Amino acid sequence: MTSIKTASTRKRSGKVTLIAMGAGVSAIAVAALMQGEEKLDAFQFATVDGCITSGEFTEAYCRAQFATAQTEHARVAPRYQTLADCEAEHGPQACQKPPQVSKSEAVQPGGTSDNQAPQHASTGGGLWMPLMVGWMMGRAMGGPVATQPLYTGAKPGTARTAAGASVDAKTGPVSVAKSKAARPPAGRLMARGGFGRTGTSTGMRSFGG
Amino acid sequence: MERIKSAERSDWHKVAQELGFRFHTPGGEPYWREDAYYAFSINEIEDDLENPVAELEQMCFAVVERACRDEEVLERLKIPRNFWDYIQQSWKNRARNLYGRMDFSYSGDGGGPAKLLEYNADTPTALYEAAVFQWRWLEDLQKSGQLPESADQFNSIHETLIEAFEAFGIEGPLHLACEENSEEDLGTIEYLADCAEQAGLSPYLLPISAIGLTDLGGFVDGEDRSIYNLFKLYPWEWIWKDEFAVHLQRSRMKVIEPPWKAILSNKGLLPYLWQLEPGHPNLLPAFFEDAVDTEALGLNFVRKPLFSREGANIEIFEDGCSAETAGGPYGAEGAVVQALSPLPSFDAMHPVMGVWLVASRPVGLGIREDVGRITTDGSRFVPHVILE
Repeated sequence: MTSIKTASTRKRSGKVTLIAMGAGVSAIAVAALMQGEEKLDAFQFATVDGCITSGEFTEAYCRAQFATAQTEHARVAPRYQTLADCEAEHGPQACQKPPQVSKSEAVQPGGTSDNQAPQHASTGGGLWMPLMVGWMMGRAMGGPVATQPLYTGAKPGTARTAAGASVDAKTGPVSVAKSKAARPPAGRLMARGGFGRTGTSTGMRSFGG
Repeated sequence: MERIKSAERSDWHKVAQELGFRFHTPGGEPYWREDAYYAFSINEIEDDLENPVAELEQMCFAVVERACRDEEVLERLKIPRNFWDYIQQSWKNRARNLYGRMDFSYSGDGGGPAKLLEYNADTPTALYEAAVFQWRWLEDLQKSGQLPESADQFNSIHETLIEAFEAFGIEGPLHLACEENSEEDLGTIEYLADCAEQAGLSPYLLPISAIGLTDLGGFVDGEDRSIYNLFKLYPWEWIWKDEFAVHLQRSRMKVIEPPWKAILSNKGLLPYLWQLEPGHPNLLPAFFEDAVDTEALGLNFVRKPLFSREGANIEIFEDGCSAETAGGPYGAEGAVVQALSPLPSFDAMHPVMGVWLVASRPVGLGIREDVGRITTDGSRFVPHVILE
């Protein structure tokens, strides 16, 4: 017997909307779908005290985020073959050799004076890396803003993420493009093209027929 | 179940363009066809396809469980030993899966149970046309009065894909990769990227060959951004042979489909399902080539290489003799044999029912039909409706 199906019993999608396909986004390109990128609310601080006195966060949260940024620093800080390479990217006196623990006068985002940049001796043997001069974080853990270290940029008034994205060198609340707030990449590129050869050699598409 | 001839929408090429469906006529050969559709009753859909698929998926899980206890399974499936732990860990960690397509031979009520031909559990395509274009076709035919308002479709693929992406718990961007020279593969990952974005994720598309490896053992995209979550429309058995594969486990990159799907996309799944429930109404007798029960198999059977896809290297035997074969590059790893369940014939076309699973739930149907008895990449997609 034919019956009229209500929305709750029907077996198909109520609505099928596409937001990017057919809207002229076609060629295969990294970030093809990131046109007109969304901005996220984030915070940048140079010190735990600065975070606490902002009045936005508890001391425990500030300390936890700072610790996370330090850990990330060890994992993701860009590495350079020479001091000159590093300083070209991050400015004078902004770099260190990881095994050496030194208290350099790193430039802060926002230009404040005290320094809590962590000194990590664990990784990157022989390579130069910038000093962490602050960090970026979101209002809540696990949100779209990944807690991550910040470094000085070569241009005055700018700071850089480990991924190399330029952000304003200021402390407190900031607005950051979504891709810049993502968890940063780790390490230097060693090789490309290590995936895909088998498919190319069989001459078959990866169609699941 | 009926095949009903139908007038094409006069503007469907325009609609296809609007909806980003670019691979409907590859190489000048029509792939999307709407000069006919298949009509089902709700009982045929629910009792003969949807419910059996839910049950078969549970049986598939039992095979994966077994592969985690019994390494002979992985040996039999010809999965290289150095990836066993990676696969087993992904199952033990309950790594979520996104989608898959089970293909059946089925001829409707009265024609016997749907028989599982194979499970495309790792890199199924024909997704977009089932989820979107087929859905739109029904809407348009209802608007024009060609089909009644009460007509329905087994197709909540789109909605459930978005829900599945929401439930994945993905942090950070989602990269989606495929080989760069296939318009169809690209269309598939574009569509999945669209669903991912609607689920609140940040998708990036890239050719699989653009992926880079860093000195810290992580993977990066073409612009050196870390890849934390990778959807790859590129089969696991090809990945095993690729140079970067040895770095996967340590990288901790989340890969979709997860590694344990390699067990289900392997044709060796078929004999293991048969071992699990011999005589199950939705299964055909299936055996590894070196362990055939000839009595159960019979003289009419199909030989399928473990890693074949798109119908390549499939060979049909009738009365024990080779009757029809499709060429291709597969077969070096061995094969299974499966009793023949000939595809039914409707207007001289042979349809195969592709039931879609999203997050392991049966959620839709896409039908491809072919003039030959082996459904290949030259087959055509035909829409369906539920009419009563």
